[in-house]
Amino acid sequence: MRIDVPDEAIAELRTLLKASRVAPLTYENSREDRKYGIAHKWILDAKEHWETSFDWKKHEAQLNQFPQFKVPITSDAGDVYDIHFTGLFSQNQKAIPLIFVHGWPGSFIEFIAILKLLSTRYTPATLPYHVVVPSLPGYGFSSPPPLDRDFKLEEVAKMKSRPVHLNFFNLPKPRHVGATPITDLEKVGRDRADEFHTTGQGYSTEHGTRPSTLGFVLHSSPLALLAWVGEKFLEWSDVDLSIDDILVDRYVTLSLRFEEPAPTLKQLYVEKPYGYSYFPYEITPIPKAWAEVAGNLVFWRTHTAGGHFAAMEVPEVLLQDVEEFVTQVW
Amino acid sequence: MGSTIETPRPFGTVPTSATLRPTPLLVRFDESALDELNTLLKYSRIAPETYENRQSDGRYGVTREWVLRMKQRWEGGFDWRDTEKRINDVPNYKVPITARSGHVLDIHFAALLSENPTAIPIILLHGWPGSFLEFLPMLNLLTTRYTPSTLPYHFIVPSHPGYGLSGPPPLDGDFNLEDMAYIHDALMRGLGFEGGYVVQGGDIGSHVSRPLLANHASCKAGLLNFIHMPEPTSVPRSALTQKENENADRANEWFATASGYALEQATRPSTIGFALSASPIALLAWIGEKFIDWTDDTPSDDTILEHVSLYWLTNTIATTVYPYRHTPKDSPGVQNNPAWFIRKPFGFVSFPKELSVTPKAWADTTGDIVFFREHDKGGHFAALEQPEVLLKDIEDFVAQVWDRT
Repeated sequence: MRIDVPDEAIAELRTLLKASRVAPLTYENSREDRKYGIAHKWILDAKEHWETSFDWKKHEAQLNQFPQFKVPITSDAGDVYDIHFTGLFSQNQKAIPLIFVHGWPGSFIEFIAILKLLSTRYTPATLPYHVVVPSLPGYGFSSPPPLDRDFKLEEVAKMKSRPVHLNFFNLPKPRHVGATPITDLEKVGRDRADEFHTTGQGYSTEHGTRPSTLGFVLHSSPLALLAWVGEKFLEWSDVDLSIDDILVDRYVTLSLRFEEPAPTLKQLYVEKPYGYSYFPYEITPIPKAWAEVAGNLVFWRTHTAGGHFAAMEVPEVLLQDVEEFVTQVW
Repeated sequence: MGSTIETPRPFGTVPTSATLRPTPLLVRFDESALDELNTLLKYSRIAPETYENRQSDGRYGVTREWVLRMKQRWEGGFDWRDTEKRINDVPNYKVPITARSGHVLDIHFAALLSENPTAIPIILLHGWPGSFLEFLPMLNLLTTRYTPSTLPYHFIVPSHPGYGLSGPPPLDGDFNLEDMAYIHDALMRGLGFEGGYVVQGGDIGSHVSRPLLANHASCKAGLLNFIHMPEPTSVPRSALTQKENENADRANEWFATASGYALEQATRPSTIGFALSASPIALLAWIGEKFIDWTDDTPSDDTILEHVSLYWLTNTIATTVYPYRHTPKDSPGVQNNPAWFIRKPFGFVSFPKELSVTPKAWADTTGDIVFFREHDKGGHFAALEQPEVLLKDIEDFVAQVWDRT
């Protein structure tokens, strides 16, 4: 397929965006530290940029530089999903298949920078991997989850059955941690995680308990979506992402709810060989001592820059980790 | 937005002992504001059908069917001018009040003022997503039962700073429950009620009632219809009846499953303020959900629409969520704050469909209750749902406690 958003849709977005109302200046939104969320100045600037200078078709053309596909996939339950994915196929018979899985409020677009790096470093003949970047069901260009029953993370995870490399692992503190000493960097990371757990989970609580209400709020206007999602791109990244990057990446639906209650360590335990890349501005960075007891940890990298959206923020770094991991475990 | 009127109207005579000069207000929004609302309703997008929004029991929030129906009614059928007429059927005022910080805030209140010099002043405090509108049915009842000279009370129904027709809290400093209480006490004293008044509060209004009673001598007694609190460690479950045990479980469950909105409002008030200001549909979903979940019989579509319209037309949602960061569940929260233990005459009335029904033994840990009633109908928006019942509670409470103060 080609990504081809109709001009009418873009015009409709602009009309609605222009008509949408910006909240007045308040004590909370005039703070520069963004402690209470999106800043007034930021949203005014982002709205204006989106209305006037942001060019979706330009970004769309860049996305279409990579092959885009849709394929029907049948789940164990018998439902058929139309799954969108982008990626790079190698002509090499021994190429290692890699799947990159995005999250919320992310999308396949987060990995475009990595695809660009790979396509400049390798040719189709020399590319050592098949790289697949899907849109999860309900996200981006994939079809939604079923209308008539609940849809859980495990069904999505049926795709993943091989060694796994993580840059995000929201692990509660294990009762018995591993032997590796906790570093100063990791201690700061835990402060960050504590902050996330006490003051940063309003969004996920609402997602988990009132996804229907929230869905109507965020669909009603692009400005509503911009506030809710934009906040995460700013808060969860190391260096602020550009407004352009945030606007491109705002395809999101809310059909994927978060699991309640929180899984236990036993349920989270990673049986397959797994690797973890530590990015200090991740929302819940975990020390190596914890990761060691949470599964078959065979690979660990510590970085001093980068956050939750590692693929967008530091694509070379994440790609290098992935390539080294694959070399080690394949 | 409004206009001033010169001659005092029935129930509109400010006491001569008042030091404030409230300006009478006639509420009328510009046609352009209604046009903007309709434009955004027309262009706003409705989320596609999902598993969650098809659940007719509303377990994941408002249903798509409800949103579509309400949108249609809002666009044609619902008449905001009717609401304005009912607002203007009672006296409304605006008055500048100096806050604790020294800022001057613009405070709105609706009122029924008595000409009787022994009338008992009562201030009624709404919550979120409520407003002074909740008390209009009760004020209406009073105007049919009494004349300005026979009315035994003064009923004062303000909009909290940042809510409804009141101006916002300051831009340059945090504003908390004590600041809200200070404003309401200044209002009552400024109206000539320094000798004493009673407070009735629900939702955020009941939280504000606590520092009001604790810190302000003129506030003599309080009747609350909301004491929503985490389970106190000092009350064993064996002390509760079976029904109270069930209510206790549901109260705890509410915190675990139904407080997402409160957590978001407490931690990211700025973000949620932008999201809900962007489109009336956003506001309708977020607020409308509460009018469905928290009531016994769901109010009519038009009742819900007028409450959402007030928030929309006044463009206030972003300045109504600040109390949520000042009402933490954890100690010292509100009800379990020892500084705010109610030692003045304290009444608690319990409605069965409140968002959680607090066992009396829990409520007892928050003050010396001298008046307690349990009702068999009504929910969180008691004044709106059961105006006669709550009015009787107020009258009986005041009759019991007033002579003692």
